[in-house]
Amino acid sequence: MHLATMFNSNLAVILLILATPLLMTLTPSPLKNWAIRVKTAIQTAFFASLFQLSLFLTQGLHTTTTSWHWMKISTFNISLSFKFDFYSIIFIPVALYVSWSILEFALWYMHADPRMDQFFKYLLVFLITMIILVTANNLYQLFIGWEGVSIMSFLLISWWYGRADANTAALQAVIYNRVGDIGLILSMTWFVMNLNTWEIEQTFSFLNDTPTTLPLLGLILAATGKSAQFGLHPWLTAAMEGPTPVSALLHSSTMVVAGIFLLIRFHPLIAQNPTALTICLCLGALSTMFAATCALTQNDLKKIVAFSTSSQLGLMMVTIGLNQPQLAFLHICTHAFFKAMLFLCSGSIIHDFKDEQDIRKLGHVHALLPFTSACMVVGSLALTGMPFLSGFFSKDAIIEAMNTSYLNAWALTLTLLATSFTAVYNFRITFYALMNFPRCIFLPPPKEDYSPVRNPIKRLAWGSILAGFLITLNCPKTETPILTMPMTLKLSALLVTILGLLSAMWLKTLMNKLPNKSPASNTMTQKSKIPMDNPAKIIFNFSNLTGYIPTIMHRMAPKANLTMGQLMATQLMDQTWLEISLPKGITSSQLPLTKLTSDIPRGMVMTYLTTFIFTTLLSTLLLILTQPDLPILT
Amino acid sequence: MTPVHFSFSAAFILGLMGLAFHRTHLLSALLCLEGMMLSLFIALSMWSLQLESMSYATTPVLLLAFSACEASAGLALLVAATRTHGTSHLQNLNLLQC
Amino acid sequence: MNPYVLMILISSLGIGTTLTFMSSHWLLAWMGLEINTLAIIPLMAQQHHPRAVEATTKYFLTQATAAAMILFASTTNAWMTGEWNIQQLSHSPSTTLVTFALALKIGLAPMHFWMPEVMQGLDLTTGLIMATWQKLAPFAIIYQISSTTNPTLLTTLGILSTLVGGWGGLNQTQLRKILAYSSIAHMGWMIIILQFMPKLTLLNLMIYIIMTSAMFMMFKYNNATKINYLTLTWSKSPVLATLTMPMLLSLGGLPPLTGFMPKWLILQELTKQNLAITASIMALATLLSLFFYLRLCYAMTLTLSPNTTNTSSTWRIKSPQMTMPLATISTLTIMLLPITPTIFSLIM
Repeated sequence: MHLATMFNSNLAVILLILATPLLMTLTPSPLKNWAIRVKTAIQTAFFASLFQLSLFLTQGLHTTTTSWHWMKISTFNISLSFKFDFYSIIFIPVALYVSWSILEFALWYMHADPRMDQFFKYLLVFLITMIILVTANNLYQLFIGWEGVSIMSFLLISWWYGRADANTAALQAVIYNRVGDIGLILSMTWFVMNLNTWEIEQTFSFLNDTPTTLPLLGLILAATGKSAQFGLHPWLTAAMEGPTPVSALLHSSTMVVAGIFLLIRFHPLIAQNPTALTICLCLGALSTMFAATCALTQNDLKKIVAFSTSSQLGLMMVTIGLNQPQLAFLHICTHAFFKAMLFLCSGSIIHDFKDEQDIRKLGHVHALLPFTSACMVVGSLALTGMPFLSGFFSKDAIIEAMNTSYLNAWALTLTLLATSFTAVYNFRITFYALMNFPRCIFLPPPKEDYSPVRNPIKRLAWGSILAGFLITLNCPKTETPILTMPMTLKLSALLVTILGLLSAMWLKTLMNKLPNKSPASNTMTQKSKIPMDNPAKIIFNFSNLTGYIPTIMHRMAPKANLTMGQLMATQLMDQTWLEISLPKGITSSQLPLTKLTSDIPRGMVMTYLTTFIFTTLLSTLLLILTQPDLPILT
Repeated sequence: MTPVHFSFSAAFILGLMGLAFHRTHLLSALLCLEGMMLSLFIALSMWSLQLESMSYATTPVLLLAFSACEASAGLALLVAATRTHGTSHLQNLNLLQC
Repeated sequence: MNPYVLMILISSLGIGTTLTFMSSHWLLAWMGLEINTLAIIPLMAQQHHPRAVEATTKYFLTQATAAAMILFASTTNAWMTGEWNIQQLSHSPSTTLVTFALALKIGLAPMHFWMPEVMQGLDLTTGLIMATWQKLAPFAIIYQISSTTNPTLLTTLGILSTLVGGWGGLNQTQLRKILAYSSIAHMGWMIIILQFMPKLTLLNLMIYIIMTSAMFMMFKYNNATKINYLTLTWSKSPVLATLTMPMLLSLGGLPPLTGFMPKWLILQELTKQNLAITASIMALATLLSLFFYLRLCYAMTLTLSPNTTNTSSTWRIKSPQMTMPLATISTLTIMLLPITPTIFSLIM
C-alpha cells in the first residue's frame, strides 16, 4: 500500500482501536472487565501510533487531510480536517504512552471502586477528546476537543461526588474553563466575521492586512483558563480532589497542556504580534513564579506536585512568549513523562499509607517503598532539570533561550527565581516524605511488588530519563539556536537550581537546630505566637494560603455578589418596586384622594347646594371673563 | 339688561343664596325656594306682559300651581322630618353620611 | 301604601318623564321634571323611618333647586332671545346654568354629593328607579342642548365624575353607595362623549340602565345591602353568585362583556378626536372603579361568610320573587357585546 495512505489512515486506526471498548458497550450483553480492555486498547493504539511516528521520522511525512465537508453556510465551510505534522505526530504517541501507564496503574489504584469500568471509559473518552484536539486542523474540531476535555475533566474530578470538596473542585474546573472558553469563542467569532474561515492554516494568510490583537487576546485568555495561568489557576490545584490517575492524566498529557498547545498551533499568528508575545511572556513568568512560591509551603504531597505543574505550565507560556513554540512543545512532552510518574509515585505512597497525603506525617518511605522512592527522586531530579535527564533538554534550552534574548529582564528574573524554587520544593518532598523516620503508624507494612504498580512507574521512569534526549534528537530545528554565549549564562539554570537546593538544605539544618517544640508545652505555644507584622510570617501566609486568591475569588467575590443580589432583591424589588412604586405606592397615592372624596359630603344638605352654587358662579364668571363680548348686559 | 330683568334675577339669586347659605331651618329653606319661584313668576308674567302675547298669559299661573304643589310637598316633608327626627334643623339630617 | 295611590304615583312618574321627552318647550320640560320629582317623593318616603325621610328631603331640596335653576335659565334665555324652544338655547350664560342644573339633577361631580346619601336611604326597588328611570328625563334635555353646551365644561365634568366615582367607591362597604358612585362614574363617561357623538351618550345610558338594573335586582333577590352580605350569596343561589361576577366585571367594562361596548366606542371616538390624553385618563380612572367591582367579586365568589347560615339548603327552596326579569337582564348584561354592530346601527 502506498505509504502516504497508510500514514493518513493511521489516525483512523488509532481512533478505531480506542473507540472499540466504548462501542462494545452498546452490545446487548456487555462483557466484563472493561478496565483491562481499555488499558489494552490504549496499549495497542500506542503501538499503532508508532508506525506513523516512524514514518514521520524516517520519511519526514506530514500532511493535512480533509476528509469530509461537514457543513456549509454560504461561503463558510466547516470540514472534517486533520493535521499530521511534527506536533501531533509526536504528541499522540507520548500521550498514548503516558495514558497506557496511568491506566495500568489505575487498575491497581481503583480496583476496589464499584464503578471502575465507568471510570476507565471516562478516562478513555478524555484521551480521545485530547487526540481530537491535537489533530484538529480547524477551530471547530479543536473546539469539540477543547470542550470534550472540559466535560470529561468535570466528570472525573467529581468522581467521588460524595465529597463536597470533590464537587467544589469539579465546579471550579468547569467555571474557570468557561472563562477561558469566552476567549476561545471570541476568537472563533472574530475569525468567522473577519476572515470567514476556521481553518488554522488559512488564518495565517491574512496576517499582514488585519490587526490580530483581539483574537490573540482571546486565544491567550483561552490558554490562561485551560492551562491554569495566573488569574485562572485555582482550579488546577483544587482538581487534586479527584482520584490520583485522573490527576496524573490531567496534569501530564491531556487537558492542561491543551491551552499551550492552542498557542503553539497559532504560533505564526502570535509571532507577528509583539503585544501578544509580551503578554504571554509576562503572564507565564508571573504564573511560574506564583505557583512555585505557593508550592514552597504546601504540606499536601499531591498539592506540591500540582503546584509544580502550574509552575511548569507558566514556564511553557514563557517559552511561547519567547517565540520558541518548539521548545514549549518539547517541554510539554518531557513534562508529561515525569509529571505522570511523580503523580503515580505519590498515588502509590498515598494508597500504601492509608490515604495519608500530608508530608509532615509521612517519612522513611525510602526504606519501605524503595522502588517508588527511587522513581520519585528521578522524577524530582528531572523536574529540577538535572543534566541529561529528560527535563534538562527542554528546561535548560528554555532558560538558555531566555538568557540570550533581549526581552524583559523582569520576566527573566522571575523565571530564574521560580527555577530555583523548583529545587527547593522538590527537596522538601524528598526530605520530608522519603527520608528520616516514620511519623505515622501503618499496618500492615506497605508492599510495592504488584506488577500494575511497578510496571507503569518503571516505564515512565525510562521515559523521564530518555524521552528528552530522544525527542530532541529527532526535533527538526527551524530556528537557529544561539551558539555562543558566556559560561555563566549557559550554566545559569543549573546554577540557580543548585543555589536553591543549597539554601533549602541550609534552611533544613537551621530548622533542626531549633529547640524541639512540643505542642503540649504552654510556654512554647505562647512563644510561638509570632505577630502578624512579622514579614516572614506574612510571606509564609501568602505562600501557604496560595496568595489569598482562593479566599478572594471563591469567598469574597461570591459573597459580594450574593450580598448585592440580596440587596437588589430586598431594596430594589421589595422595598422600591413593591413597597414604594407599585402596589403600596398606588395605595398610598390613592388613599388620601379616596378619603377626601368620601369625607367631603358629611351628610349636610346645604353643603351640596353650596358646592352647586359655587361651581355654577365660578363657571359663569370664567365664561364671562373668557368671552368679553358676551351679550349678557344687552 | 333691563331693570325688570335685573330685579327678578337679583331676587332669584338672593333666594338661591339664602337656600344655600342659610343652614339652620328646613322651613327657611322652603321659604327661599318659594321666593325663587315667586321671582320666576314675576319674570314670566312680566315677559308675557311686555310681549303682550295672550298665549303665554297662562304660564305664570301654571308655574304658580306647580310651585304650590312643590311647597306643599316640602311642607309635608317638613312635618315628616320633624316627626322622625324630632326637630326641623337641617344639621340633624345627617344619618346617611355613612 | 294604598294601591290606587301607588298607581297614581307610578303613572305620574311615567307621565313626567314622558312629558319631558316629548316637549320642545322649556316650561313643559320643566313641568315634566317637576311632576317626576313630586311623584317619586311619596314613593321614597313611604317607609316612615328617619333615613327614608332624610333621603327624601335631601332629594327634594336638590331637585327643586335644580328645576328652579333650569326654569330661571330658560326664562333668562327667553328674556334675552325671545325663544322658548329647548334646542334654541343660544344665550351662553343660560346654557352654562342649565348644564349645571342638569348636572345637579343627574349627580355629576362636583354636584354629586346628594347621590350616594339619597341612595343609601332608599330601599332597593326605589333605588333602582332612582338610578335608572330618574336619569332619563334630564338626559332627554341634555341630549337636546348638546350642540350648544361648552365643550371644556363637559370634558371637565366628565373627567371629574369618573375620577370621583372611582375614588368615592373605593372607601365604601355599602352596596347602594357603591352603586351610586358607579352611577357617577358612568355619568362621567356619558357626559364626556356628549359633545362629539350624542348618540353614544344614549347608547351608554341604555347599557348603563341595563347593567345597573341587573345589579339592583340581584341585590334585591339576595337582600344584600353590604359587602359582607354578599358572602352568603352562594347559599341562596349558587348560579346567581356565579353570574354576578361577570355582571360586575361587565359594569367595570371588561372586554368580552356588554359593559365593554360603550367604553370601547367612547374611547375610540375620543381618540379619533385627537384627545388621547383624555381617553387615557378616562380609561385609567375606570381602573379605580374596576377595583371595587373586583372587591365585590372577591367577596362574593372567593370568600365564605364568617356567619354560618341556619339552614344549609336555602337554595333548594324556590324563591317567591320573580326571577324572569333578573334572568333576562343579567343575560343582557353579560352577553350583548357580540351584537354591537346591530345596536350601533339601531342607534345611529
